[in-house]
Amino acid sequence: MKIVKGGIALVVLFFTWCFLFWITGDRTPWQFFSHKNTEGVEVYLGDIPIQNYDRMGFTRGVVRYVAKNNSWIVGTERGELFCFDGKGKQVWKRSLGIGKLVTIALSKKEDLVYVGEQSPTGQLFAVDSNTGDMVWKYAAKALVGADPGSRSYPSVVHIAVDNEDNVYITAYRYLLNQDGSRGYNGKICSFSKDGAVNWQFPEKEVMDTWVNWCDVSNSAGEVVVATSAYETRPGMKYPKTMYFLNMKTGKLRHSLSLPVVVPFENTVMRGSPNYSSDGKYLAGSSSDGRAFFLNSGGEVLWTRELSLPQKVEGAWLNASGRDGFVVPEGVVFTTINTFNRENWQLPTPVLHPGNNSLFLFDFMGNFKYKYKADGTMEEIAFAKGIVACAIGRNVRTHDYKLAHGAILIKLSDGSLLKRFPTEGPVQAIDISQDGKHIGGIEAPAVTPEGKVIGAYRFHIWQYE
Amino acid sequence: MSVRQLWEGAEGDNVIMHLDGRSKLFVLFSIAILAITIDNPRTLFLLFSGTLLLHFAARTSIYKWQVMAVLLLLGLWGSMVSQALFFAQTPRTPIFMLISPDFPILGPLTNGLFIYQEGILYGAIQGLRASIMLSMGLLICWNSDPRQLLKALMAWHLSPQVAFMLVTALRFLPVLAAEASEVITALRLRSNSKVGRQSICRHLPYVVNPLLARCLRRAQTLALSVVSRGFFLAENRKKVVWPMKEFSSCLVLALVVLVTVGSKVAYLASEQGLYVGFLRYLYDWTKLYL
Repeated sequence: MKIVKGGIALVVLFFTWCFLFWITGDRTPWQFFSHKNTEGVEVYLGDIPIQNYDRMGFTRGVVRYVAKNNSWIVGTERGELFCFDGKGKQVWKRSLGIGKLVTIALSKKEDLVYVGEQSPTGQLFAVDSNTGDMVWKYAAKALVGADPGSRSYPSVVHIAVDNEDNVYITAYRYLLNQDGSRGYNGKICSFSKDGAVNWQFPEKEVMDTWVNWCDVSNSAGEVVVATSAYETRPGMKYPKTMYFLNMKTGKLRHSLSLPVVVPFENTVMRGSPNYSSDGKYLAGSSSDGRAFFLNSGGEVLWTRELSLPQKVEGAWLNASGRDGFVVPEGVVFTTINTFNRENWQLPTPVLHPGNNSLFLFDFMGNFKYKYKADGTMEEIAFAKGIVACAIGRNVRTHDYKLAHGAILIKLSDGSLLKRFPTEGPVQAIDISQDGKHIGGIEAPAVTPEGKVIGAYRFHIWQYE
Repeated sequence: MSVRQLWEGAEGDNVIMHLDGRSKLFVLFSIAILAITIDNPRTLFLLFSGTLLLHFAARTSIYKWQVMAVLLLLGLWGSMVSQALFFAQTPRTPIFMLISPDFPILGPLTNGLFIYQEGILYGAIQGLRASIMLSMGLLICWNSDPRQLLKALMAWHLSPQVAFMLVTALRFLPVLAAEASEVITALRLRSNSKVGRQSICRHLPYVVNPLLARCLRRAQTLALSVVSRGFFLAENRKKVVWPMKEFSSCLVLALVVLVTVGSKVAYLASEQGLYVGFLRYLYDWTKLYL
């Protein structure tokens, strides 16, 4: 009997050895248990605090495709910058500190990657895209100050690069005054490719408004800056919607105030405007759900209503406009989830019909089509004839299974070309110029039922 | 095979047995460092398989293999099952539901009980670390005369008292096991009870006193013999030469350990901001294989 028992132990040890060989290798047995879609490549980006699904400020990440060597630069909330090759193998990785990486841009030759972070110093990093070596860095704390004690961190929120590889950033810091009122410190700064400061706007003070976006037009020699302060205060020095600066000197050329719609106090733009590739036109959408098409002189050519605020059962509902892009097929705008204007966390009785959508207008302002997604349009990126959309959360329907993922839409007619579903919401996306390679960052979330869905991971998908 | 024979180094003729005590201890320490340093599951698995191969080289008896199998299985599966059920890190992917969160009473109490995919692998990594050490420890234990280890420790200029205590502790465990077995046999004969687990459990509370008495008696004898042989006298002992082949092999192993630990430290430093571009291939290698 002892011999039999010992024999069984040896046999079990042999099978355990085989099992360990199996699970420690690449061909893991998980597919036998799960029904997860395994299309494409997944790379885990590390542990991060998992946010509540309904939270306004949600987990982010940044991604850019590098065409010269078919690689991906990925920045995370952990302050880590990765370079992955086309198959998802890590080429290099570097930790940039304790901040969250919130914005990214590539130089024209794709030899440098510029990364902006939110941290107690709010650095702008210029990193060699081939090796991951730091080339230079600049602390936005010098521009907008910092007050880590009250968690008022400076942040480089957006980066634009011109044809001569000069870099333009918007830096911003949120202030909570002792009397409970809110304030903002904002500044625009231009750098040469080697990190020398070209100019700052304003030169000797900070903008008393929230600046979230900027873009540069080489042909017009101009930088446009959009503001995002929802409230205006008496005596506010920079209350206008857009400021147009000379890209060489940083001097203010002119500014523009867009008309306000009820119930908003101010017209704000948080994810636009952007110039057309020839620099002659400008497209942007505002948080009150309007779309604007302007020329580089700052003249509004036409305005369209995407998702204007509506009063339903005493509550103002709106779906904020986010993006504005000019592409050969027309002018593209997007909107996000439906929100209650009173408090963004409060429920809404109905969904706004214009929410979570992508709109295309021709250059005369004629409506071409609308594509409505199941979740918010977190980011869009363009390839030849295709737009790739990162589809994030839908905090109203809590549709976890259908909404999340990445989609490819044919720009000419708005038809869905391909959908890449993910478990968690996709928060950032980029696509190669030929439209064949798509990279997206998925974030984890805790649902109101307490279940964790998704993970912080980078996906690479192939199309055709 | 008696209990004492099972846990003591046996006389035998194999490659491991003929190795110098210093070589054995050095390999044991090196493998311990590697097992702690390496995180890659496949590399740990290969290291574990390597230690099992050493048992084949040492021609470990089938009975000892059976005992080792039971110990390894307990460690490996215990770790895998517990981590699969209670894995608390993220991401964690439930691949099988044992108790639904909606199940009456148990569901709300536990918030559901799942088997987590990542937990199995995490448990396997921890289990493999423990198994590597267990397997290597048994290999050295079964293929070394305690005198060999004592000489090795003394050659490394460890104080004779400490070295002696270490080796005595090592030898004491099999002696203790044999003594306990004898006491239980005596108790069983006295009470005329049958052989089996039940009788062992019944006699366990009465084992402590006779076992303690026997241990004290042995310790007294040991102390007298140590004093009478002048073991701790401060006289020059004959230096035993470390065979050149073994010494150079240990140097190579030391280099492997140094490179492994060094690249791991460099990789961790790079994650904390101390990134150096020309070490990129080392970072890649560390990430992929360590």
